[in-house]
Amino acid sequence: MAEKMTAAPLLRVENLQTSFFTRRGVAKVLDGFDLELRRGEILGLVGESGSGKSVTGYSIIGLLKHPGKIVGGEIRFYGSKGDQQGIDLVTLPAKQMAEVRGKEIAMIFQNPRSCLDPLMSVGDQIMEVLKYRRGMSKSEARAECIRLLKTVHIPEPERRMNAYPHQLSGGMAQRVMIAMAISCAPTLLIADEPTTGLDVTTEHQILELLREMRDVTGAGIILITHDLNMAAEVCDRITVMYAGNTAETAPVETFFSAPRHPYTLGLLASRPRLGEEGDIPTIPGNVPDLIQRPTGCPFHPRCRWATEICAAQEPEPRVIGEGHVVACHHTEVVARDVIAAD
Amino acid sequence: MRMLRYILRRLLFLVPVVLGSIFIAFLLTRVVPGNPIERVAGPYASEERVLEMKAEANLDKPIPQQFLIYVNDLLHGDMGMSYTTAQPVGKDLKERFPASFELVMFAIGLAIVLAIPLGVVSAVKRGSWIDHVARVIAVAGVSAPIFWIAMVLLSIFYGKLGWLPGSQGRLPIIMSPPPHVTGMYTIDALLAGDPVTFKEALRALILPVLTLALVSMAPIARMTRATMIDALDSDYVRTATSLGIPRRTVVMKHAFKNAIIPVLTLIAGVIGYAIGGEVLIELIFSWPGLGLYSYNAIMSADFPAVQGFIILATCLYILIYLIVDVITALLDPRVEY
Ligand SMILES: Nc1ncnc2c1ncn2[C@@H]1O[C@H](COP(=O)(O)OP(=O)(O)O)[C@@H](O)[C@H]1O
Ligand SMILES: [Mg+2]
Repeated sequence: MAEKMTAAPLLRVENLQTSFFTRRGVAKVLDGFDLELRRGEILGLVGESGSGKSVTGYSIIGLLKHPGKIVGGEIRFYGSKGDQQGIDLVTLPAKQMAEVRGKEIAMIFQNPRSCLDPLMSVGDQIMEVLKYRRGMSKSEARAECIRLLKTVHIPEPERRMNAYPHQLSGGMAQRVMIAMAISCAPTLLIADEPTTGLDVTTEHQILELLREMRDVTGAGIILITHDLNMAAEVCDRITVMYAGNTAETAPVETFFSAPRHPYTLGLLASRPRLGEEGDIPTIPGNVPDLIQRPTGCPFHPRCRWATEICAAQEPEPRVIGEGHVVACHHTEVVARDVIAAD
Repeated sequence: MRMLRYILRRLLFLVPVVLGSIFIAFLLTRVVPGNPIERVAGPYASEERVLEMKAEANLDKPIPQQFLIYVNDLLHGDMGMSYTTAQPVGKDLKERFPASFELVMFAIGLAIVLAIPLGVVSAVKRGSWIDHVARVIAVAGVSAPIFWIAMVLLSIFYGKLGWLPGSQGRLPIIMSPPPHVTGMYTIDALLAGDPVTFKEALRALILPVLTLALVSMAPIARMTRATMIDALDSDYVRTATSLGIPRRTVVMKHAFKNAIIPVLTLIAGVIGYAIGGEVLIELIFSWPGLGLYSYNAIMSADFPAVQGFIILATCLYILIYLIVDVITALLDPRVEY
């Protein structure tokens, strides 16, 4: 683990601001979001539904749809060439961004079956990527397609190639998606809730596949999830986001042993646990209105440690331990209370 | 092979539909008022002569028996004699079919060729001027009645400019039709190597075709735009984009192919509607096709002719839907057949 901590950065998102220009007003969905990913690392990006996880993914890969727009910040990507300077994906011209997409950065989504073209066999879809992105001939693409399907553990790939998406289970479809995503050996893979709707066994297999892929290719993976148990299973580090802000980032052990942000504490407390009965405490209140964001710390209206300063001033991220960053005015008080409660 | 079985099975299912249409066609002509024989015989015919003619046409028998006789004749390929043309109805329909077919084919062809690209472009470039043009056409085509469009076109291109013939039919009176091959004058003239007749036949087609094409375009363009927008917003298009597939390929191969399937079914409906609209257009342009024939038949209570037309129209509808279903089944692997 230690050498991974010092591994070269692959992606550094700084003060990212993404807004949606809706009829009702400007929704500041990401408002000063920070994230760092290293090579060969799996980073869990967690937060309640609506906290901006998917929008973060789309911002990075440049797939934001109208009326969404990146209005500030930087997404520095260091790419496969090990470029020291990196490139800023925010200012990268569309043409070059299209070149990066698929080749350097790939994304997999939830609902894998609807992510595949229903009119095309899965083999044709994979081979299309190989043709356009790797310039392969038909026979080369076929051989590579079979190899890829084997890599994602699809049995009888020669036969499965001819299947159409509706003939596949959700798990199989997600494997096909992963096969397409890794077909150009990207250095960054964004997996947006890749196991939603899949059964537990399949979920484990998909997560195992992501881990294998990281081990083989050394790519960095951002695993977007609202499931902390899943994050605990595969992630090296976890970043918690709330209302488009980074609340806390920590190595996975620290995250579960010494969480410090009140929102993280709330998430951990509301996590369903195996074999536990009774009501699961939920975080009171709702995700704030992003058009009229609360002043100061966006979590303060729901926070039981909140004081005047929380409403007045946005907390700066502070390093409080080895790779442990928290954006909270009252980290010390929270820490004391948490330790006392244990 | 499987496709052939599918088509045969579909045809088998259609037998009751056709039978039903025969029954309804028969019943309709009996319940509407009007006595054809008295009209045919004229006001000065004697009582005996009228009775005699009724007996010849089997109209003196009870209605159930008339129906059985009619179906029996049909099974022998006999649709009865038209009271107004004094020809077998089958022959009448066969003679007039090419005129209507030529008109509808050109109109629908033109509508498809214009409306689908229009729908695609207005979906891809949402909010652009082309999108606005498409919207205007869609609204106009849906809300303007056929006769109004025909009148406007006539008053401009015939009345004001004098570029095109008015209500003259398929050719100027002084010209004779090209040698019969398909019955479609433009094609027959081309086959006969007769450019003058071809030009005149084409000029005669322009206004009726344009009228029918305009009303047919609107729904096709609107549907294409809507299904194309859905497809462009779909998860599979997002996937293809995220993998760096070129935009052109994403739009044409993934989005368009998916978007066109529901449009095909709509086109079948539009053709059906066009066959209905044909009646009006043929009346306005004196076009000697099935529409005009059926109009005259209804007006003179020509039972066998009306029945023949209804049965033919039903069979055409069914055939069009069958063709569309077959194309859909070939395009969409999710369709079981
Ligand atoms: N097209 C859009 N228009 C307006 N708001 C949007 C749009 N897409 C997403 N949002 C807003 O962005 C916020 C974050 O969405 P999302 O990233 O999907 O959340 P998550 O993935 O964490 O569940 C939501 O509050 C949502 O309302
Ligand atoms: Mg999401």
